[in-house]
Amino acid sequence: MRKITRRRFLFYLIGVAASLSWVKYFIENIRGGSSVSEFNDTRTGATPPARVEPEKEAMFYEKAGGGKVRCRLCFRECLVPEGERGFCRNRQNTGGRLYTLVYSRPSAVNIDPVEKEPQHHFLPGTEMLCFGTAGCNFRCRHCHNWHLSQRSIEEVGSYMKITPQAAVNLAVEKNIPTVSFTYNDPISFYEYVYDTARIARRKGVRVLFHSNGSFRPDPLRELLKYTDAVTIDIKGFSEKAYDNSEARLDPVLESLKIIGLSGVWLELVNLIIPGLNDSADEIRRMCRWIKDNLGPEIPLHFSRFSPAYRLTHLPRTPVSTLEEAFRIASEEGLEYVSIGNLPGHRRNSTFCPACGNKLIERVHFEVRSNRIRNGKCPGCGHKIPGVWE
Amino acid sequence: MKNKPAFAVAVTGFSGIAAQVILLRELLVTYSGNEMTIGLILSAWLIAEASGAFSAGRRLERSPRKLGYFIALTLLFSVILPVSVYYSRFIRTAVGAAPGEGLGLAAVAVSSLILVFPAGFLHGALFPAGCGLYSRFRVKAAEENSRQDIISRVYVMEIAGTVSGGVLVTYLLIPYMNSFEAALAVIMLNITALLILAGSRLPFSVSVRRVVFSALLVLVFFPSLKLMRGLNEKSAAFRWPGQNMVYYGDSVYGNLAVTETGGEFTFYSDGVPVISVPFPDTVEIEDFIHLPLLMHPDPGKVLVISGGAGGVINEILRHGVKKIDYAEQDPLVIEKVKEFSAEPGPGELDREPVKLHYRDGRMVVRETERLYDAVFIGFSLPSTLQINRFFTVEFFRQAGKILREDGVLVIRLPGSLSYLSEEMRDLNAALLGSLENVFEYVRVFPGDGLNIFTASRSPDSVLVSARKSRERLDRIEGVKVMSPEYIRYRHREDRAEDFYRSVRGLSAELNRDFSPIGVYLSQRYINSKFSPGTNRFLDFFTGYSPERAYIPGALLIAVFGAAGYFSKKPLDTAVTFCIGSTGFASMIFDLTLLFAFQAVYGYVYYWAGMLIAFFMGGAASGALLARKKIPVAGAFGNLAFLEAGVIIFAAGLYLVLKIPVDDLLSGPAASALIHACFIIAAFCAGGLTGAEFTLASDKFPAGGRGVIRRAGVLYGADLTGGWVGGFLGGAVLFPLLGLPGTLLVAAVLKAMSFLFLLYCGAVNNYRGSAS
Repeated sequence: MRKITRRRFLFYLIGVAASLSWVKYFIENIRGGSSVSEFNDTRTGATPPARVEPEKEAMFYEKAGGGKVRCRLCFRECLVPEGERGFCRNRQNTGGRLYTLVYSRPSAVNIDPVEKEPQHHFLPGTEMLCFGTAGCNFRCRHCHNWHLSQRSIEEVGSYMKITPQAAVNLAVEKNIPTVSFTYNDPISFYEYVYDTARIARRKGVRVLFHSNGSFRPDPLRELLKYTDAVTIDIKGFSEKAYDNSEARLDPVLESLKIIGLSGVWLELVNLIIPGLNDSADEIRRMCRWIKDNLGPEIPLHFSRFSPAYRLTHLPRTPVSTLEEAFRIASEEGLEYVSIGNLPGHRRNSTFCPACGNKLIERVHFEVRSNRIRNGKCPGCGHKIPGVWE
Repeated sequence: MKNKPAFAVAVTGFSGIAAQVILLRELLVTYSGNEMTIGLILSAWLIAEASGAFSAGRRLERSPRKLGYFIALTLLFSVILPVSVYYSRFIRTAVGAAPGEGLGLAAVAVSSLILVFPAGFLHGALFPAGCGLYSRFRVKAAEENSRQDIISRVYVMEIAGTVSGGVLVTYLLIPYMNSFEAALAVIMLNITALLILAGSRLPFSVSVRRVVFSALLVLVFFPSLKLMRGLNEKSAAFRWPGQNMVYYGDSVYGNLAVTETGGEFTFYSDGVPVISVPFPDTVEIEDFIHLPLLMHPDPGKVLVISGGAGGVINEILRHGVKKIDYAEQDPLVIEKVKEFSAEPGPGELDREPVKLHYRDGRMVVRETERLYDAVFIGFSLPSTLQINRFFTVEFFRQAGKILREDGVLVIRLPGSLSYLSEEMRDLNAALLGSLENVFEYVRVFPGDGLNIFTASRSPDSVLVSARKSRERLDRIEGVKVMSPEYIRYRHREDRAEDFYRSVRGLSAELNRDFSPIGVYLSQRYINSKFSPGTNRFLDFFTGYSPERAYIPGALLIAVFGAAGYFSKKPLDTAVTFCIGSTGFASMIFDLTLLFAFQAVYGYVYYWAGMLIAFFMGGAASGALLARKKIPVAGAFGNLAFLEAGVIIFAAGLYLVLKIPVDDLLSGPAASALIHACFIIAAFCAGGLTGAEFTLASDKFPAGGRGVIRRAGVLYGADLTGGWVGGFLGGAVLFPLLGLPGTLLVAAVLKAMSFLFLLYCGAVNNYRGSAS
């Protein structure tokens, strides 16, 4: 056996230590630094050291002993130690209390057409004042707003200071009938959404939010009291589809039932991603569930996937797949099914389920004509569900 | 064949370059990479080779079975190569990526190292094994001195194999074979070399051996060919599960795959979907074409550089344009669009106003005599040096010369209507600044996904109101998204104001051919998606300032001083460091010449191959010169002279790159002269490298460690230096400092090794006189 000298031993030790450090660094960064851990690694590898000061205490949490807190906002129910944050990156335990870091700190404020949500049966042709900020409780690999949703507020860097009152005043000033909470999931900035919604309700401004639907029941019921319309993303109808977002299907289905019973206007969107959630069987099971639990009148939007964020090597959804999905949904009895992200397709528009007349002609997000009168088809008088005024 | 080991070693050289090129091409498709990725992959190969060389050198020195080792290593290498190719198509899944998910630089670095390590290690081990083989066959004397020049002989022979391999790979293997078939060619050549090497030990006559070996080769070849073709098909389809692959092939520009689902075709260039027909992204294409053209009073002649097929040309034709020149460098793309796709794919390219140019777009811009109303750049992210050439100040100037007074240049960059991230802002700011440096009027249409930049010398085709654009809608028919309301929406001033507020005031360096900040900023943008931590690593370098160099500089001096003083053989240490740092410098020179050539002339594949061949030829010439002409007694002085030569070469190249080449490029004579300058520079860079290595291996005594082990150390040092140069140069230095800045870094490093050599020489002399 070869004699090991001190020099050789030292050389090997340094080499092993250096190799392990590099391997650790690379492994941490292979997936962008995010992890599924309950409360660790909520910062990505790019988070700068300075942290935003927590100002507003969070809603829906409880103390869990040992200085930890348990968040009760979404299905993850993160157990957050002192000084750490929850999975969404926006709720931090400071001194045994949970605080939201993004209250009154929107990073994106824009005016968009309501059809962009998508919402086809809610004040068609009008605009909405949209708010979004950093963070999200999902990790969708295809997120179009990843530069907001997949980052902490420090990484996003710039944000505005707009209180809930100021947000509503802005909508009133600009004569915009609806405020919307979108871009990143409103679950992750719940308190701001809630307070703004309450003020908006008092001022006669409508409230809409677009979510992945993974609320816990109590926060959802509370928020729905001040909400006029909701768009929920169904990522797919299998755990495999939700693996892509590091999430689960069951909590979303529970939320949908709650919204369905609440009377708040609900529309659903399903982004069909080739190879992930595009099987006919999966789509059929989803449509059947929707009809059985929410009713045939719930609008369902099938959206065409285009490469985004980390899913850059997949093709666009074939139109034949989208049309097949439409056919399945119609067979299962859903009455208002559309196809989105495919401008010029016939199914961008809304049709009467009774007589087949085109009710709202739509190309992409633009309403080119709206024939609905008093909430009914002008041809056969069939009542069309929605919020029309 | 008289010199059997020479042939075997030359085949080793051929195998190495072939393996590098084959694996590089495969991994570029897997990773959809750029020059940084190339740097990472090549540096992974080099470190694997260095490890193999170091390990084998120690083992083989005392082993009596030198022939056996060489045969075993060659066979193992030959088998590992196609296995590595096969697994290169699965490696993304192996590191945990979801189907269709891209990878960040960190994952690329780790996974490429894992993949290329076996083949690289074995090939690196073949160099000292070749030295062992040569010493067994060709050197009868056991004296150390007469064995001393084995290393340089093997080095020269391997280079000869590498050069001829480079030419064969360029002109034969890549254009006509898939990766598995090319790997099979390598296997067959290696088997042939081994049969020739070992055949003389068999108790048969020469003619019987020839018949038997030929039969053996035929028996191995045909079944293997069938196997390789099957593996290629099976593993290629794995990259696109669930899709019907209708075409998979390589051109000299890259890989092209075409899949079909329900009558729709998707074209993938190096793994990334680029064309979807008959349903392209309507919003993206209509925005790109109609927003600018509706601002122009009467677009008659349009130039499209890349990305025209798949709907863009079709939209331009709606404007009744009289002439469309479409430059697409890779004719394979057009051929397959016409062969496989559905409308608007084939039809739009055959329309009368459309003329196709299978040339680099920049050459078309430089040489055309036409004046255009609009020039569209189809790329949307300057993530490679090749693409960045269409986003530089120099290119904008060239494009400006071929635009009419009210002509408009149109480019695109990543953007968002909701929020611009820091990386997006930096990239947009740099390109906005570069455009504004050339054009007086620049207007941006922020968009979801892509921002559209329009630039002109006249406000009449850029600062046009929405009302005017809406009026011109009558001249086009058949659009889906463009409507008066949509145009009003896209012309909204609040969007543009938000954009300008985001990017104004950012200190934006201009994007230039030899200072490609666009590549660096694009890489930061890509990293922010896939591995944000890598940006912190890069930020470490951007945060660097000369004032912070004093402490690390002092530490470095202390480390070197101690290494030289406490080393048992200071001269050996210094020589090894010289070889390693020259390995670094030569990789930097190699890459500088390739990238500079690419920036000036475009991706002219054959000339890039010629540059590498001349570099290696220079290395062989330098090695021969050093072997024959330099006496052992003058070794130290000559090595110091060569060190100084490398420094002067780096400085000279730095000054040459400062010359504005574009202004000198007019005319065939000037162009020929510049081509010649590149070749001479490549030859000289190679010569310095080859001469140093031979000097170090031949003329400085190997001492007690043995020749073969010394071969492993020096070869390993050379490869390690090359690895650092490839990794650091490709990933950090070139994009951050530009070509001239990187050359300065190489010059500083060589100055350090020069001084270290002198210092160690002095220590050595002191110890010699003291004893």
